[in-house]
Amino acid sequence: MAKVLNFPHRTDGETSVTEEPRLEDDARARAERRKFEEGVRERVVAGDVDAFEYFVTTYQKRITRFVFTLLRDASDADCVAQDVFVKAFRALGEFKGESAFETWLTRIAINTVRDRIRRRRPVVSFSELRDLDDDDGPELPASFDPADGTSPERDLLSGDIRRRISDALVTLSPRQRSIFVMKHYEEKSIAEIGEATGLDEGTIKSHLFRAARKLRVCLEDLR
Amino acid sequence: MTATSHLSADEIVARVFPEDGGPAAVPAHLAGCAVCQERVARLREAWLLDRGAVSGYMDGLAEPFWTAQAERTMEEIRSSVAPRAAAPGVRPRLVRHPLLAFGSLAAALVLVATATISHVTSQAPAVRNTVAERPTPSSVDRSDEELLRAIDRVLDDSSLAHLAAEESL
Repeated sequence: MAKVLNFPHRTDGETSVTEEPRLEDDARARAERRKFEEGVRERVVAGDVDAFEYFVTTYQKRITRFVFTLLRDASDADCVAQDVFVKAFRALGEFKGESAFETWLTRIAINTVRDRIRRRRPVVSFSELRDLDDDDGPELPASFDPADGTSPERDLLSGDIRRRISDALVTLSPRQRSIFVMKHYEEKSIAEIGEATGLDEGTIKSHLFRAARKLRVCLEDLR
Repeated sequence: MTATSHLSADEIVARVFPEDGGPAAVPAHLAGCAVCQERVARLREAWLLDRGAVSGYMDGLAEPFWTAQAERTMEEIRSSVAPRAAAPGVRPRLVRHPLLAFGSLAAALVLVATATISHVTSQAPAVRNTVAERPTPSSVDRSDEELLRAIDRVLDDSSLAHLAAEESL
């Protein structure tokens, strides 16, 4: 594999490719990253395909996590994440840097997940991941099934509600699901969600409201 | 909502999933109702567990998984680039193999010719029908035809005489 580009994290005026960023100002760090990524983008567009590996290795975990939260299917999430990067590579010439690369990538991920949901088989809930893992080969670890451990009854009850939250999530429309996950699982602000989805604040809140209503229906007997 | 009625499902969901990000106002009833507090806590706990399960699962993916995913992705990207890079080379390749190029051209011409001939042949009966349906020739036409037949006869006779002369030689 070709040598992967690294964002040069600044440490006391020196450039390092190994240490974590120590910039006081987040906005400045973001600006520097955008500038660096613009340079990488230009290299890729000019024909340096290997330079794109920087984007893959930098964002693959975030994108896979986001996709996985939406799809609740480890194997699908892996495939979709790969598709997202391939699509991003093909469309890189159209990316003009109006938003951060990650935001643009998230938008591609939302669209790719939406397409996947429209033509996928019936959704497998997160609670069934353990069964799925048997077919996924050694790369995917056993599913994580947390319990707070206070009592078996409570674990059972929490597990049941969690399963129903998970099942309720997959009944949401792709757009509602994306917005709900960005808001409540990734803790994005409304503005960030707006940037990623291209929707205005009112529309996002409307989707969140409708998503919450659907959840309420699924969790009716909590009353 | 009165002080005695429990929170509705909407209110419970709104406590855990506030729409605007900020904490929703705490209903007066919730402050003193252990049942409603328990319901809100249970839903919040379940949601946090679900979120934690997703994070835990992702965090549990070992580095080789990410390396393999990156390699697969880059392989697909490189393979998608390769055909595009080869496209401009189509013309030189044909020049390097002129026989292939001319062979293809000849095959294409043969195909076109075959199609044209079969097309004409299939239309021939229609032409004959059209001729047959024409009105009977007039008397002028008939006399012209007789004249032509007479000329044919004369020509036939002279050619036979010519052949006979050659044979006698």
